Amino acid sequence: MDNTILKQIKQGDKRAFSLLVDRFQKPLFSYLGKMGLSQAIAEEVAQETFIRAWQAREKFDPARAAVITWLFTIARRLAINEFQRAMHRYERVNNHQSLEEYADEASHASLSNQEQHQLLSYALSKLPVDDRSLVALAYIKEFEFSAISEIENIPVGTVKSRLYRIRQQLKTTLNGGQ
Amino acid sequence: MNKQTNKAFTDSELDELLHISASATPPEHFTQQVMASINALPQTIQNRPTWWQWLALTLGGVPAIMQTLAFMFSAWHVAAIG
Repeated sequence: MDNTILKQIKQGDKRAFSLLVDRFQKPLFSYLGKMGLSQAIAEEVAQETFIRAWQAREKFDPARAAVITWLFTIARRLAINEFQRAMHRYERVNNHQSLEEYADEASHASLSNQEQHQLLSYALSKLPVDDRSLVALAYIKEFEFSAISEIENIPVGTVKSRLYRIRQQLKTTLNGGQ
Repeated sequence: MNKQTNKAFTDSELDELLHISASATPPEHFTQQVMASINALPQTIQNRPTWWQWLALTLGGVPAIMQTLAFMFSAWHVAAIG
């Protein structure tokens, strides 16, 4: 993002900030959705992310991090909090029982696209929330490994090894293993 | 539970599935919603003191300290002379 715009945002220019919202809302929603948040919760988290970013704009240092990395770091923390709150309230709807049967009994070649997506959603839901965040970031085209490592606050090597392990785990679940 | 499926998911199929996996989409007018929420935020109070606040603190603080010292000295002096 243009440095002039970032400077204007830091000085409190709301019009410049609306350009930032325009630019980053799509990848942000993509990330939150891939993490497994519903559309409604993703909207809440995305909105809160931008509000927090606005409130903390003076602290943002473009020399230390890219603006997208900064935004996703805020979003990640809020999304993880949201998952933890939901777990405490037992509000998560579990409609995955029948999906285990897909994984057990069906060849994926015979599954419809929708069923494959449901099966993937089931496999993702079995991952710890940190792993879900990592895999969601990895499949958003905006990010290199180095950016993911900054957001997750882990070394690049750990990003790669964790991603390998997560993919193996997803494949096992999708292929009917546990 | 661990029944073999006829055909296992391959790496590339998993990649493809993950790339197109469900992602939320921004609602229409999302930017306006965010900006409306930001406009509704209470005005932030400026935390950093300005030069005149430092001046006022100094102009008030120095005489206050002097007065305290003067009181302590006079109390000691009264006690010393009996």
